[in-house]
Amino acid sequence: MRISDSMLQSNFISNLNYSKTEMERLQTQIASNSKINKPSDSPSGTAKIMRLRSNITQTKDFIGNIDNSIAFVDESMRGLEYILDQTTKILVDLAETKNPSNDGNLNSFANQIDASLNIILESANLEFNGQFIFGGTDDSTVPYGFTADKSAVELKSNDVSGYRNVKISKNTTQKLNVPGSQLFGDIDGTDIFNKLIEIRDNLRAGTRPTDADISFVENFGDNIRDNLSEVGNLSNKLIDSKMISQNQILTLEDLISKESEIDLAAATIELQNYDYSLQLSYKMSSMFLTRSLLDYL
Amino acid sequence: MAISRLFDISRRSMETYQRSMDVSSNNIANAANPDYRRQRVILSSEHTEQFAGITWGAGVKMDDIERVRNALTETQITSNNQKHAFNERSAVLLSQVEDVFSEPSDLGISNLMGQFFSSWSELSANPTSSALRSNVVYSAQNLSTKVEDINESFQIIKNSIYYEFNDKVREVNSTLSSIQSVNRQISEALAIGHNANDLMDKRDNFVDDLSKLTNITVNYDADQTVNISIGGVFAVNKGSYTEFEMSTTEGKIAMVSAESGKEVSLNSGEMGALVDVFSKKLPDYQQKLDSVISQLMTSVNDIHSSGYNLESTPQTGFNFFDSYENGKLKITDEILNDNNKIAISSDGTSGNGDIAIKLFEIGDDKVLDGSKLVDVYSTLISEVGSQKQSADRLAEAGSLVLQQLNNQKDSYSAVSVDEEMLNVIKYQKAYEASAKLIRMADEMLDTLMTLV
Repeated sequence: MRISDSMLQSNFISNLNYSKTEMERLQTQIASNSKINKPSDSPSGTAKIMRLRSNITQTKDFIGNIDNSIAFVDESMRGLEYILDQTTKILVDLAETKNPSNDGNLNSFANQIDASLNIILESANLEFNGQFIFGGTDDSTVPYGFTADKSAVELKSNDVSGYRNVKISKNTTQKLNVPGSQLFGDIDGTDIFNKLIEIRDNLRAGTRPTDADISFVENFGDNIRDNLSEVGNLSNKLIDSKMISQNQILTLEDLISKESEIDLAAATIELQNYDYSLQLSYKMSSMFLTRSLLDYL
Repeated sequence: MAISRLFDISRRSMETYQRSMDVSSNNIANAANPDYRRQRVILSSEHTEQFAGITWGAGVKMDDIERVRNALTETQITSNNQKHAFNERSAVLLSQVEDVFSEPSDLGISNLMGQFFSSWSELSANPTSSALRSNVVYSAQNLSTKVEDINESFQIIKNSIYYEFNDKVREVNSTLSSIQSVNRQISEALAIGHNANDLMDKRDNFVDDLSKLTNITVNYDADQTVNISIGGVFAVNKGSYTEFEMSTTEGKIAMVSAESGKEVSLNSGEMGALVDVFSKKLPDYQQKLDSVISQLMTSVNDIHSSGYNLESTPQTGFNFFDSYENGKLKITDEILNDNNKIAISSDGTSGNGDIAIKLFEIGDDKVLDGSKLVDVYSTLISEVGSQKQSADRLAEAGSLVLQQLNNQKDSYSAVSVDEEMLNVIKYQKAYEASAKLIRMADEMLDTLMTLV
């Protein structure tokens, strides 16, 4: 083949460009630690990364919801424990009133029941992050309160039966709260608050509580215990769900890493190889590009 | 035989080799001119003479100065130029489109859409939080800004292609005018027996330039002039050329004959790439992006309008997004002015976030042609990436093919200084030998004269 001077030059420039293009590619990959910086670097890889990142964002949302939910559930447990403690105290007091030796202390028992009633009422209105724990889904006002003449407890909000739902995984929307209606029933005079007021007022009038009264309070206590147990289970479920989501994120991040991360050592060595060949090309060019027969005539 | 014949033969020889050295000098002078094709002298023996029954040689003569050119290779270069220019220009334009999407990064629609859905999830857990309601609005605004930015960038790219195409049409006209002019000069020069090598070099370079712009069909006529058509429309011969102009119809650009209005079918060269991206690819990407954003708006509004807002008397039936028109995704003014208008309660109670959960679930629902929004969008990004990657690879492969073809052409047509210097030495020696022959003839003549 006849070799002209321009062929030497164009081949040299072409090879030089190739080395520089490859060096630019490797430098970008090393600097970003990613072999996918544009969709054209790997179209299918880009789509895969976008989907995986979307999954990670979603799973992080679930974890955020679970964290909030755990705090809410912990607060619910605290409230239920307060109510259960007070209910137990009331039951002890009611048992004591049956003892004839306490005939002179009925007013004192009435005061203790009144104190417990107030704590139960306070717990029923427990608030967490602007939300009434046992107030259903109506956060506009405190759910329970005394009437103006303090003679009875009434429902202040419109509805305490709503469930707060929260998404904790792709397929699970979890009911988070124990609605007040489930704990305290309808506030119609036969509820626990007004029953305690009735017992208190009877004691102050010297009348002992009936067996039906005690049975009512015992049933209320059992209901609280059942709900406490349910909330405890929910807390465990949330913790398990969080662990599952965290593991999912690790798996998804691992997949992204496999798809996009580069082998730094291999890339660095490759870059060095191109650098050597580039330097060699420059040296060679100074040797042959300026030579011709003219130099020897 | 007269001694004077020696003078004649030597004189012709010296003249021939001097002109040969001129040709070599011209070659050497053009060694660095990429458009030049080397020339070589065609020498042959002068007509012989018959004398006394013997045939006598009459020396050397120059028949022609030939332009060294491989027509097959150059035809292949013209054809590959068109494909390579198409792919190279497509790669550049698609690279601009690819950059517009900012994927895969935190700044892309994919991530911003994810953040938008996440904001609903957070709000569902605490529906009365003003901060979280504001967060929903901010994330919607971020998404809306990015959508608008992409649509504006599409428009900027289209505008830039429009003006570039207009310039290219002018460039085509100017090149055709030059080819017609050089064609005519070649024809005239050859008609009067002049050498038209340099004119043909010039003409071939114009053809080369034209082949990078558009798809051309080149035919060489018997008188060494070219006849070119572009995309099925006559473009130029030695007698005339067609003036083209740009036309825009139904959002598509085209090149048409100014006189007949006939449209040129542009499918390669830089102009082919401009037409392809402007009239096919960008509208396709735009349509796919629009379908994702429109569906997002519809799905969000459908669910949002069924919820109750956080006003003192909860109201329902409000959209979250106002419209998606002219590339702008607008949030309703009511929500922008008062985030309590965000309606996420399914029963009107303030702490109910069931609608927010449903809005969050849109991200996971197959709401667009049986696919999730993020999947349709990522398929679009994958398509842009694939087309850019394909253009890159074809441009790279085309570049290698062109390099090989250019090497073949240079191997044939380019100047080798070594070769020319050897020719110069060869011609110089022949010239010196002829001069010596004259001196010897002169001495022979002197010898004869001394005898008289």
